[in-house]
Amino acid sequence: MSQDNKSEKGKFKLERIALFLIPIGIAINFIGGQIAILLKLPLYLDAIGTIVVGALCGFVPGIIVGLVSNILNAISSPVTLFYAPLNIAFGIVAAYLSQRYWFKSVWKTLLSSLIFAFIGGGIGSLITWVVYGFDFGTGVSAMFSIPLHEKLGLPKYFAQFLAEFTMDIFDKVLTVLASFGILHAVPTRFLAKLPLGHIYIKDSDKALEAEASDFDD
Amino acid sequence: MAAIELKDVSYRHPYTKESALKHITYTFEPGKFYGVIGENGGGKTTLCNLIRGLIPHFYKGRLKGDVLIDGKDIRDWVLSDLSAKIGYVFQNPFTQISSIKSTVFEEVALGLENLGVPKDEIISRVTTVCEQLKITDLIKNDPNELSGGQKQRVAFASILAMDMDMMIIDEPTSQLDPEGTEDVFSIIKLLKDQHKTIILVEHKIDLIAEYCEEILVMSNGRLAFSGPTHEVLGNPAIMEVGAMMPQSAVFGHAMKAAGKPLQQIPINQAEAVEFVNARKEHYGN
Amino acid sequence: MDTTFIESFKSYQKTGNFWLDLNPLTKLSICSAFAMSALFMMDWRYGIPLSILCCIVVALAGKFKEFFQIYGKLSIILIVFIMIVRQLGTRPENVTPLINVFGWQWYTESFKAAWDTASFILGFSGAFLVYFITTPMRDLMYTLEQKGVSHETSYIMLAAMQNIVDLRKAATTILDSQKSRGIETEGNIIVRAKAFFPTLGPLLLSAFTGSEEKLIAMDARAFSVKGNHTFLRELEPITPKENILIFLAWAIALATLLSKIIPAVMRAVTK
Repeated sequence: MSQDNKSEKGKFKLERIALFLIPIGIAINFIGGQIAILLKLPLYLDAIGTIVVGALCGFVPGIIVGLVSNILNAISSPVTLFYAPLNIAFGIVAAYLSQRYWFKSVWKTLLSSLIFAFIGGGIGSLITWVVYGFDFGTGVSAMFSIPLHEKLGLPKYFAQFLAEFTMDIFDKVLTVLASFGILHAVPTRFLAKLPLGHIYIKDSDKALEAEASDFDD
Repeated sequence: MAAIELKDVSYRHPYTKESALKHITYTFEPGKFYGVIGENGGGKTTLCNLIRGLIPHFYKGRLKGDVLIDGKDIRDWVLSDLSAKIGYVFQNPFTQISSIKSTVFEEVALGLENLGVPKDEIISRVTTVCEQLKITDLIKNDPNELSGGQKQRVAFASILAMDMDMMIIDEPTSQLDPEGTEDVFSIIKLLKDQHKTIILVEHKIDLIAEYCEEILVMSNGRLAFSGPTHEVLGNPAIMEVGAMMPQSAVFGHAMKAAGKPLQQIPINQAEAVEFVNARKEHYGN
Repeated sequence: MDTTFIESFKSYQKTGNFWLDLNPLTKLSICSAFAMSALFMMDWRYGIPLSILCCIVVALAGKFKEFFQIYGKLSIILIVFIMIVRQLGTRPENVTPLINVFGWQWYTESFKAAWDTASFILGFSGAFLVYFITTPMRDLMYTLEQKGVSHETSYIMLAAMQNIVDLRKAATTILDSQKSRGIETEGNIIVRAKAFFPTLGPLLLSAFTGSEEKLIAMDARAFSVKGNHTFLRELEPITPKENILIFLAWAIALATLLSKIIPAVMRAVTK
């Protein structure tokens, strides 16, 4: 009998252990950025927690990690609130791909980085576009988007889209690799308690289950 | 009615080959003070998790045998009802701090808030418990910024405040210095005087000898020895399964081996002195 | 024993400052209303005074330093960036020259557009920032729980904030000790990226698996017990006076919305 409990809307049932993993996932999102800065990498790395929790616990926990991370970020930069759909989307996509065993193979994981970059960079650029008054936004992407528009004659929005998408790929590649590393390092005993954990249990451990004695020891 | 009954209980964690508990049969009576000793990995904590209901409600895996709490099968209990009935202080003080309260006073009050205790009663109970555990000068502090020893006291206080009839206490003094350990044990004695059912897991064998009425020795998932304190702690066989004998008992056996047996194997200093004096009086040596 | 501290729990928590003592939901409502009004107006003549108003409110609440540390940085970066970006490239609407910056011609149209956007963001951010600086999260969570939000939600918000602090500290400790041991935190990008994983893998993993013990610990505190919770630390419910303030704030927001919609409708109708 699993101990389910409802979230505040009463619509979704949240597994107990997922409830306690969510704050950890949020914290991991926050230190991703801090570490990137310390290691002098020009990246955000702020979705690792969302992806790992989404992959191990499912849609609702993944969404909550993304959304709450977004709200907490908004405390120091309220404009971030407009980007909430991105974080929510990361959680959803992570759960979806995890259920289809994408994160079990390195190659598919790397492929998923394109999807995440499309959301983060691509859809992100759409939000930036609207927020900054239907024009180029601030940020490093302007360095690329403006020349793309001026020199290559690409339409304004398309230039922005391309610039942000490309820049986000590097960030997301590292993000998914880190997530992959974590997913495959979580001990079996813990995976056994997570809703989608069984996906990542090694076959050798699964064999132990079959071998185990029937208490006549 | 017995407080907790275990009948031929075995348990295996998922995806493991070895069972963590093997064919345990024991009865815990209400109001008694039990000590659980044994080497690390022997199953002490697993036993605690079982009694507390975490096995099977949180730890999935294969559970065989019957576990009855107050006559009701553990599988029929809801975990939240058990947490209102059995207090649990466990080893790691760092994770026992809730991280959602900003002062120690509120931290200790958390369990009472969850139980729906009226505010005035919360205030008086928390105040009392803070005095008992000597953390009154910490009540305004941030519980997340305390030292390991301080956290352990706060964690203990938090469960103590909930005033349950049954308590499982798993190595509550691991982070404490001798003085802190004495403080905690004097509180445990208080609990004993209140006739609460206590199950204490400890390595500090001399303290276990001081307070416990019955001892369980866990080894390799099995209940290797059990019985009244004197019987178990005086038995040198327990050392073969990794349990330690109190110094006084070692001394008692040494006396026996030297041909000068005492009336009984002492298990604490007071007894040792008493028996030695008695022997001197009787035999003159 | 600090008896004043203990006694303080017997009554509603108050600081003595008018703005700080307002109910968290009141403040949230007021700040949201003003943030929305900045969005509706999208005009520097509204956005700038609003930003200044935010600074004044925060100063009166005694939190100006914390506020400005964030707001000041945000403002400068935002304004400079937008100014520059808007002046880059050839834009058909730019006809009125403004000033010449070392041979680079700046135009009034872009200048105004930049200020309109910048001041919307500043007004919006300012309003929300005022809220967050002057309202501890636990107070907001308390009021939400009073309204029926589950204490699981409270747990998530508050535990997340503490976990961030804890994990940051732990990560900094590890990275510092690794640096002193000479692990490659200098060097080219690939090297640095590689250094990322082994340094922090164990930390992230133990944070993860630690959630199991956290679950047990919270369960031991009767976290999952059904039934009504009581509260040690209480805040005063929303007063009628506060309701008036909320109404006024949203009235202003509505006015700004109408000030944009009505002329637009009129223009469409008279075409």
